[in-house]
Order: sequence, then C-alpha cells, then structure tokens
Amino acid sequence: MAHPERVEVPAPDYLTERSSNRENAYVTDSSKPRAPFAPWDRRELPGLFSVEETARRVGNYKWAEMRLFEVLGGWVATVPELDVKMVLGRHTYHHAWHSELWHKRLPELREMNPDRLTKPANDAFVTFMDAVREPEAPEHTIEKLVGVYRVLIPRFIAAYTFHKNATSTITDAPTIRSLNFALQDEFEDWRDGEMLIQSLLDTPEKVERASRRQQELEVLCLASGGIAGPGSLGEPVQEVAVA
Amino acid sequence: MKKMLQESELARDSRFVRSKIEDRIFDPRGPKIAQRNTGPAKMATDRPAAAERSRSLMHGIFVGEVQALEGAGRTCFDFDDTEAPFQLKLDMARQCWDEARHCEISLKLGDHMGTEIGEYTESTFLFAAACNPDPVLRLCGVNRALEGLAIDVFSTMKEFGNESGDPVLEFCEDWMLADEVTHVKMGSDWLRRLTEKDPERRERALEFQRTVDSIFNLGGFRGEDEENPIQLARRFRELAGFTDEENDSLAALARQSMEEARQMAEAASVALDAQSA
Amino acid sequence: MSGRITITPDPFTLIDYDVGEIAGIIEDAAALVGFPTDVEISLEVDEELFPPLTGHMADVVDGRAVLWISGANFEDTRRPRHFEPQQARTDLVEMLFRAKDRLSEDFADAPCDRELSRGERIAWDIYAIGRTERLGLPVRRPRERYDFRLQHGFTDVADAAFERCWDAERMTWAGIGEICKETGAANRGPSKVPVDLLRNK
Repeated sequence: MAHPERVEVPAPDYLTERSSNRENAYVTDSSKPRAPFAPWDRRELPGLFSVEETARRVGNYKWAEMRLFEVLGGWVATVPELDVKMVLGRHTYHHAWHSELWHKRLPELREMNPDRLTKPANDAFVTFMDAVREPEAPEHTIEKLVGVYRVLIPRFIAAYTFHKNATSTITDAPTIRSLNFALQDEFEDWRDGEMLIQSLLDTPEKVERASRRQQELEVLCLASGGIAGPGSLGEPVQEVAVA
Repeated sequence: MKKMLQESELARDSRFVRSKIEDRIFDPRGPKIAQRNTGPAKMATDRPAAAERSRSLMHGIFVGEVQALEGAGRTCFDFDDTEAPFQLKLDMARQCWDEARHCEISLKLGDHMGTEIGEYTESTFLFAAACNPDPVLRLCGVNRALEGLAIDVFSTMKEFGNESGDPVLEFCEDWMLADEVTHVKMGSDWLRRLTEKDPERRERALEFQRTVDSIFNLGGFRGEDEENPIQLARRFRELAGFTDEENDSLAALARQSMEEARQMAEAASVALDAQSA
Repeated sequence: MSGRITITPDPFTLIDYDVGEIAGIIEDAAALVGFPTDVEISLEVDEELFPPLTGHMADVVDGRAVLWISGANFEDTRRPRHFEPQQARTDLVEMLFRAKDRLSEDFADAPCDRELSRGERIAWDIYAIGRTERLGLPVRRPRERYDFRLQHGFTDVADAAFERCWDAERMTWAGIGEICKETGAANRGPSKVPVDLLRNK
C-alpha cells in the first residue's frame, strides 16, 4: 500500500513548542519501528511533586483515612438509625482500604518509612479531626454525618484531585492509580452520606444544626490548610519537579 | 468520643426491645417445657411451629449481625496502634463491611419469611463479648466463638433451606457462610500472631472463647444430636481452621450443657410442683 | 362469661392471662364470623408453651366447638408473658372460621385436625385468614405466604394456589384436596412428627 506523502505545514507562531511538535502527531509509519508513545498518549514527564513531596502527602492521606475509618466503625454502635448503621459499616471498609493503599505506596517511594511518614499535616489538622470525631450521643447522627460528608470527604476529593492533576503522570503513575480508586469511593461515599443527611434534615431546626456544625468544622479545617496542610490545593510556593 | 462502649449504650430505634436474661431464666414455664416433647429441635418443615421457629431464629440472626457489625466497628476505634496493629484494624474494617452486608441479607430474608424488625426481643450478650478491653480476648470471643457459632447457625439454616425447598434461604446462607469462615480465620491468625510470645495471654483468650462458647450451648441450643436446634457444622469449622480437638471439645461441652439443663429443669419442676401442692 | 363458653385453665397459674378477657374476645370473634349462637365453645389454652412454640386446633365434637391454642399465640413477643389482645382476637377469629366450616356441609368430610396433613391444614388456614383479613383484622400476608410455601413449595404454582385460598369467599373440603394435588403437597410423605405433638403433654 502506498503511504501518503507527509505534508509539512509551517506552525503558526502563537503555538507553543509542545503544541507544534508535529513529529508525534502522525500515525506511526508501519515500515519503521513504532514510536514509544502513541499519538494519543500526551503524557509529559514533569510534575509538581518530588518523591519526598508525594511521600509527605501520601503519609498525610494515610493518617487521615485511618482516623476516618476508625471513627466510622466506632459510630456504628452509637447511631440508632438502621440504614445509617449499615452505610457506615460499608464506608468503614472503603477508607480502611484507602489507608492500606497509602500504606503500601509509602515504602515504594524510595523506601520511605511508613510509620515515620504516617502523620497529620499539622497540629491544627489534628484539632480538626478530633472535632470531626467528637460526637458520640445517639441524638447526634446529623453532627456525625455532616462532619464527614459535608466537610471531610469533600476535602479528600479536593486534595486527591489536585494531586492526581498536578503530579507527573509518568513518574508518579502508581500514586495516580491509587488516587483514582480512592476517588471513586470518595465520590460514592459522599453521595451516600449527603443523601442520608438530606433525609434526616426534616425541620428548620435540624438544618440549623447541620449548618452550625459545618461552619464550626470549616473554620477548623481552614486553620489547618487541609488534609496535606497548606498547599493541599496547590497554593503558592510549590517545589517544581525536574524530569 | 470515648473508647469502650458498654452494651447498655448500644443505640437502637424504637422498634427494638431489649430482653433480659432473667426473664427467660425465671420464667416458670421453662422447667415445664423442658420436660415435654416439643418435637425434634432440628429445623425441618414437619417440626411443630416450623415457620414460627425459623422466623424467630432469622430475627435472632439479624440482631446478631447488627451486634457483630457494631463489635467490629468498635474494635476499629477502641485501640490505638500499640494495642492493635494496623493490619488487625484493616481486617476489622473488612469485617464491618461483611457484617453490614449480612444485616442487609438478613433483613431481606426476614421480609421473605414475613418477619418484622423488632418483632422479637433482642439480647445483647453477643455484643458483650465484643466489649472485652483486651483485643486478643475480644477477637477470640467474637471471631472464634461467635463467628464459629454463626458457621453452625448458617449451616443449619442452609440445610433447612434445602430441606424445605427454599432456594432463596439456601442461596443466602451459603454466601454468608463463606464470609464467616474468613472471619474465624482472621481470629485464629491474630490469636496466633499476637500471643506468639505470650502463652499466658493466649490461654486467657482461649478461656474467654470457651466461656462464650458455653453461653451459646446453654440448654442444648447447639450440639450434634437431634435435640439441638443448631447443629455443629464440623466440615465448615475445619475449613475455618478449628481442629478436630476443638470441635470434639465443643461437642462434649454441648452434651454436658444439655444434661445440666435437663437436671436443672427437673429440679425446678419438682420445686414448682411442691410449691403449688 | 357467657354459659356457652368455657376456658381452661381457669385461672391461669403460670402466666398472667385473664379468663374473663379471653372469653370476651371469643364472644366478639364469634359474632364477627357469624358463629351459630347455639353452639358451645370450649377453649383450652396451653399455658406452658411460650414463643415460638405456637399452634392451634379447631374441631367440632358432639356438636361443640373444641378449640386448643398454645399460650404462645396470645403472648406479646416483645413483652414476655404479657397478653396481646389484638393477636388473640385475630387467631380466635381464624379458629372460629374453621370451626364454623366444620359445622357446614362444605367440610362435612374433613377429618379432625390431628388427622390433617400439613398441606391440608395450611391451605385451610389461609382460606380462614383471608376471610379474617376481609373482616378488617390485621394479618400479615408475607408471613402467611411463607407458612404456605413451607408446606406447598416455593413455586409459582404454590403462590397462585395461595392467592386462590386467600381470596376465596367459599371453599370446600374437596377444594382443599385439589389445591394439595395441584401444588404437590399431596405427594409429600406422611409427617414423621404428629401434627398435634405440641398439644400432647
């Protein structure tokens, strides 16, 4: 079969070097060895995080997921609502599994000691998590759920999404894979929890309770900077990774 | 939130009624019934009140699953990293998921049989076994004794499903049985790992397990005779890691419990008759 | 207590049931089902039996309705040893429907309760319970359907037979037999356990 002649079209001057790199834009010539990256594989090497930075964040994630799964398990016996009991039981496992994913990832990051790195981002985050975990009485199901599903889990979703989008898609691929798995659970758990909350808020007084609880915890979380501390969502002064 | 929740603090909605063990023990009808032939205790469709007995047992299974879920959840929370290793907590979290699923299955089976939530009273001595402050004892009491009992109960219900031609019951019990075998193995593994260098702790844990086992043998509830409603499921217990010695010991304990219950019933009956004369 | 109703034991000694209260419920139940006012009713309550050892029997002997019921049937399962009047009423209405059936030509050939097969008994029970529900008393259909399935099978044929028994305004003893043949209950071997075992002390 005759191959079509390659037509060289001069690149417009407003395109970046990467965008105008026409070499990878063509389907591989089958008479030659294939290019290592298919035309549709646009992954690049550099990411925002070094190995140490990823390890630090992953250690923070693990600590937070552990604290979360522990309290979800502990709450099962304290909530009278049967459907809430069973949902919490299921979600306990989801977050335990996430902590296991992070536990396994840590030693892969250049033999980072999992125990040393499994820690909260800062003291303010400990204060925040203590507050999330504080409600105990059977009448406080709303407070328990709001803390987790309207404050903490959205923070996981935000931190994980930022990490996934910011880190190197090639060098940090294992972390991205785990983030994708974890995010799937986080979104579904968030939905389950939000639906439970909405079904429980059947009076203005209960809405008020939920809002108050959310506000208290948001303020505490703000002080911590988030699950990975300041920079959880890519605030300024990031270490630039070099490929 | 505090650690170590007591069984009296278990949260329930208004449908649930807590039974008191003394209600059963001091019921004057107990000794009378013990003297009567109420038919083979083994579950079968031609057994007197077969439907009602299976409904009552299914409700008991349901509340047991709720307490098992609560117990596993508390074990995730009650211990710090020095008292319970990370991997143990992961196993307990996995058990939470399994028990939540068992609650769902039991509820659907209850619908299938025409049972309502809270139709029967709930006794909480299952959760009581999960209140032990030593995680090793807790795992022995729950994962070896109570999950071992669950193996016996589900095996019995599965056979009943087969005998009665109930495909739904048989299917569901088989699935739950698979999970319980895993739970017992978790208990056996952690007992071995956490007491490898502490034989005294191991012996305390096994003694606690025997205590819990004997509670559920009370009155001949479990055994290997036709008179026992719940049959010891030797084959599944072996799959779960119980030794022949352990199973033989349990069967002997069951026979002994049955005999003790019979003697107590006779004595109580004589006393009641003397009182009314 | 009306002279035509007798209840044993009188008084209860093991549980706190009131003979007068039970008699009143029987009177109401008899009126509801249209039970002949000239037929005597005797009820024996086995006060030794507790849940889940439930059961009841309804026969006609020498022109009298002879009823037996486990004390468990009257017991509130959520409050041990307490009488549950609504439950008692429903069960007594069902029993009196069957006793009334026995007085009619439709069931002239029916053997006494202890000679019924389990399939025959549950089919007849469902016929009575359907009528009980139409009187406005609370019954639980899924529960009764499970009881029926245990003796007639977990099949579409059995479920259809259940519906017919439940909805029937009139059935005969021969009709009960047809139901049992249709579902296969008639092919089950004789029960290893006597159907009146609980009644025999």
